[in-house]
Amino acid sequence: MSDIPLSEILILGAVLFSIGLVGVLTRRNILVLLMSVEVMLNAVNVTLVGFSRYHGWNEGHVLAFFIIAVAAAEAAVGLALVLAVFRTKGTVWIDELKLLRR
Amino acid sequence: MLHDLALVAPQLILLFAALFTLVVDPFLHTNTDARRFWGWFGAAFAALAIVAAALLWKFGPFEMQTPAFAHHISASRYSLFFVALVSLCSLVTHLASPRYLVEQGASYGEYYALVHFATFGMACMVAAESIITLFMALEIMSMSVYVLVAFKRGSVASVEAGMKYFIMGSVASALLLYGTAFVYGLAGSTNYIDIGRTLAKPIAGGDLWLGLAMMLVGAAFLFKVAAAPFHMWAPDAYEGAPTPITGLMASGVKVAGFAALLKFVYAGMAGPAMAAMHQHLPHILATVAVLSMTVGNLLALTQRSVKRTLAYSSVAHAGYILLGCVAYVADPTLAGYQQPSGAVPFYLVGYALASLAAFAALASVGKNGEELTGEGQLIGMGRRHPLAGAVLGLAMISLAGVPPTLGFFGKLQLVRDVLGVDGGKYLPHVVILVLNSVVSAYYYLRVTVYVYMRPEGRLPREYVRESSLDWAMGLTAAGLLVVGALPGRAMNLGLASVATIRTATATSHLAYERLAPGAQKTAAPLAVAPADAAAAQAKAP
Repeated sequence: MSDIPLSEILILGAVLFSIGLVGVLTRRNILVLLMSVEVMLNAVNVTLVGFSRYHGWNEGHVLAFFIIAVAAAEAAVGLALVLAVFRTKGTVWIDELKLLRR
Repeated sequence: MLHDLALVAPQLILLFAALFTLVVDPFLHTNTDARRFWGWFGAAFAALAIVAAALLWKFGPFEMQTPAFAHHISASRYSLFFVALVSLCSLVTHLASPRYLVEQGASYGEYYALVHFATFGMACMVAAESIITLFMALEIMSMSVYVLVAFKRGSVASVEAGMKYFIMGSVASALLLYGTAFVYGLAGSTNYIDIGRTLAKPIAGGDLWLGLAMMLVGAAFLFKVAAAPFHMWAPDAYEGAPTPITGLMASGVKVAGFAALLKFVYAGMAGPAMAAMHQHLPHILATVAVLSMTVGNLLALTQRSVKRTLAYSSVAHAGYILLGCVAYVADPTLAGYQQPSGAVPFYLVGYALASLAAFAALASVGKNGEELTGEGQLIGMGRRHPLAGAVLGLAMISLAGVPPTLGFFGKLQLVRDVLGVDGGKYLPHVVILVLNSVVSAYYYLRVTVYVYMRPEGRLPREYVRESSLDWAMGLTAAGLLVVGALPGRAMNLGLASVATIRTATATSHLAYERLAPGAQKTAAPLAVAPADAAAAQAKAP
């Protein structure tokens, strides 16, 4: 464990972040969009923890814990919004939300 | 030395108001109509927060940043100025909301609690002293606003706007975090001042990573303030949101976004070793600013819903303010750097008041679950509801930047300060700004034409009346006129607020001087310890 170099952790983080970003940009199901955002946030966690270990000082860990908590809150708000959208429009596809695009 | 809790008193007042509303509201067995009193309650607590900030400003030693809670948050004149401003936005939102919510069938107590939470987030954001606080505050604000945008649960437009805003907003948060993760990786600390000190030393290959990090952070902030390449969400979210919340988004969220951005860039990134950054950053900002104001104004011309017009107008104003920010990030080794600019805080006051006034006036239009904010629907407003018509007209005139109002002086100061940077290098950008103002006058005045000059249709329209709404409109209109008539005092407050983050910057600046003597031209304060140097800086005029 201790001999994983920083660069590899950063590459893992970058790959995860890219997967999340591409997911947000290309997928059209709102639930998948939420999952993609979670992947992006976890990529940040990996990066932060990697840097934190590199510096030998755990401020990055602290921020990562906060991010985990915020991600949970974000999931709650996001799913509540999905529910509200489904109740009013009967759909979970982002393309069908076009009332406001005039 | 004041106790840490006293330093964040305004924030604590806002937090208390939020929690109190949330806890007490379920126990009130009253009908929805009676929940309107939460509007007065919220306004009172927002006013209390403003008073607390004013008292701290007056009696506290806040010419310097005074850190609290292990340097995670600080009180300074900068933070107090913006805390008071976002509390004012909250106050007006609280006053403008109750009648509107009853008419729209969404009068619940959580609304007022969420407005307080959002304001609490903004107030912490402008006082943040570390990346952790910045992120938490930003998320508290954003998440409250996502819910508030979708607050009319039964309305398709409102829920759709909330969903879109949420998805775009959470991507922006992730970008911000990824950027700050790299800043943390380079600096080894999440504290602004520490970051500034560490990054003042050149890091091998660090420029590239820092550039990448700043790009990500910049994109996230531009998103939050709805500047041009990242403005796509703004028209939808502004139109779908409940009208008073649109006012809060246009004023409070934007104020907090700009204040936090300036502080982050200014305190964290100001060392002389950032020369490469300082070569490029002003140009990038100026380019984005010009893009934002042009795109915003041109798109606003074609809109027919006033809320949507004002959404694009807010994109344009984000552009004006970004151009003002150039005066702050210009190369610190240049002479222009020595003249602090109070233009951005002052401009933000004018813009926030005008937006709040406009959306408070529009909040009086909706009735029985309908929002009637199309331009054609405003016909006859000036005669049927003289106060709302006059306030809307005044707000439009101020947003357009016509002389007797605050908007004019804000723009004047902004243009003057940007022209002062770097020997007038940004003259072309300022010319574009002025041309843009001329273009924008067309659609602002078009609204007043509909309010006052079009023959009224056959359908007589009634407007809702409510004393708190009248207060909201009266307060903002009085602010626009009174501060517009006597702009000197507000301008000085803005200047004094900015001076405090400049002092912090000077500290990290001098720390670098000690590390690498002779690297820069100014050799005088070499032997001075950072704290003493900062104190000296504070005393200097």
